[in-house]
Parts: sequence; structure tokens; C-alpha cells
Amino acid sequence: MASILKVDELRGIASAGSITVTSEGGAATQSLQQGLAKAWVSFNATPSVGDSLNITSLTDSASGRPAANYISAMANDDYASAGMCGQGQTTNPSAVNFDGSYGMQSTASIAVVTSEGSDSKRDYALTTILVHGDLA
Amino acid sequence: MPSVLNVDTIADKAGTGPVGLTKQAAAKHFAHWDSGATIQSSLNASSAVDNAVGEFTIATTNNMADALYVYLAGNGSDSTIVGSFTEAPTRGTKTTSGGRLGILVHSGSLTDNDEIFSVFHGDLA
Repeated sequence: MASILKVDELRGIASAGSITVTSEGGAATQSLQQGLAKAWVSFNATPSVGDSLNITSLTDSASGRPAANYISAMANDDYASAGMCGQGQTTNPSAVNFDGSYGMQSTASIAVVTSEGSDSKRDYALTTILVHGDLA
Repeated sequence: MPSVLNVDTIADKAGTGPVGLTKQAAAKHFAHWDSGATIQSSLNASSAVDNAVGEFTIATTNNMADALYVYLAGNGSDSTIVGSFTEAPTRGTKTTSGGRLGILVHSGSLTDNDEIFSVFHGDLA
């Protein structure tokens, strides 16, 4: 019979923010905290949040230049991010890039450029962003 | 009153296998590197290699269980190269120890970018 531990919060003993878990294959161990996504968000062209984790608001700087603001800050601006955007009827390829001219990634927010095949910036019906790294 | 469990390592009942996190899964790798292939931050990444203009290979420290894992990637620029895409990893075979990716502008040309990111989800070996 499977054992189930019911608990509201997990903390490390040596370091409150570090718990090690065993890999699926049993060949390695890895930090549980580092593997968890620290923020994710989906939003529309308004932009209005559809669903999110650790996102307090969106900033609409200009067409195709949304930014997502964190509730809890990241530890630094070196974290890893990925994103996608799309519009049901467009035939042009769409891209999410990380926007240096608007500060790109900071501990407080992430700014992106969403653009289509002509290199023109535009807002999309759906944009998603995923953030992995360390929280402050 | 909330219950708090203080523990350093979590394993299954036998002590050697993984535990299930209810309806959640952790990423098994992430990395952020620059155009010189210098890693800025990472989890389970051993190296980033600059293969050619706009082409990089990211390698893991601990292998994935198979090559069927999800490979997400992104890129960005301090000078804002609008419309660059990350092909992940169509520039080479995705293996249990990582994969090669390409960064392309809308015209299809490969280009380096200032910041490149990767995230893997799946099972570790």
C-alpha cells in the first residue's frame, strides 16, 4: 500500500530552502526547489492574465511589448525563461523574445517582445511565459 | 495550524526511488547562457558549447531517462533583435544528455543572441 504524507509546508533542515529528491530512475538526486517553476503566466492581447503563478500584474509598454511583474522577487536576473505566442489565424511565424530595451529580465519583472514574420511587433491572442531559477 | 515538515531529502518508502508530487512535476534542467556560451545560472547543466553562429549545444550533468523529454528554449538581446526564434533542437539530435538548438531571425538566417535559455521537463535516469 502506498504511503502518503500529508503536510502543508516542506522545509530543509540544513537549509530551509533546500530539499533533495531522488530521480525517477534512481541514478541521481536533484534539488526540489530548483526544479520548480518560479513564475508562469498566460495572457491575451489586452493584455489580461488568463492564469498565472507569482505574477501580480502585466505592463503594456507598447504594441508587442508586454511585461509581467512578480509578486515574489527573483534572487537575481540570471534566471532561465521560455515563452511562446500565437494568434489563431496568422500565417506568419510568431516569436517571443526577451526585451533588452525595456530592461529584459530583472528581479522584479520580465519584459518581452512578441513579433511576427515581418519583424513587426504585435500583441497576440495568447502569450505564455515560463520562469525557472531562484527566488529571493 | 499548518503542519511543517523539516527534511533534507525525500525518497520513496524503499529509500531509493522518487516520490510523487501530487499533480506537480519539477523541471529537470534549466540554463541561461550568453553568446560566448558562458552559463549564467543553471540546474543540472554541465556545459554550453558554441557550435557555430546561432547554434549551441547545452549538456546536462545527470542524464535524462530517454530522449523523449520536453525541451523548451528562448532567447533575447540587450539590443533587441526582434523576431529571433529558437529551434530546439532541430539542429541536431536530442539525446539523454542534452541537445543542440538554433536561433533564427524571421528571414531564416542563423544569428547569435545575447541571452539563451533552455528548460527540460521529463524523467531523469
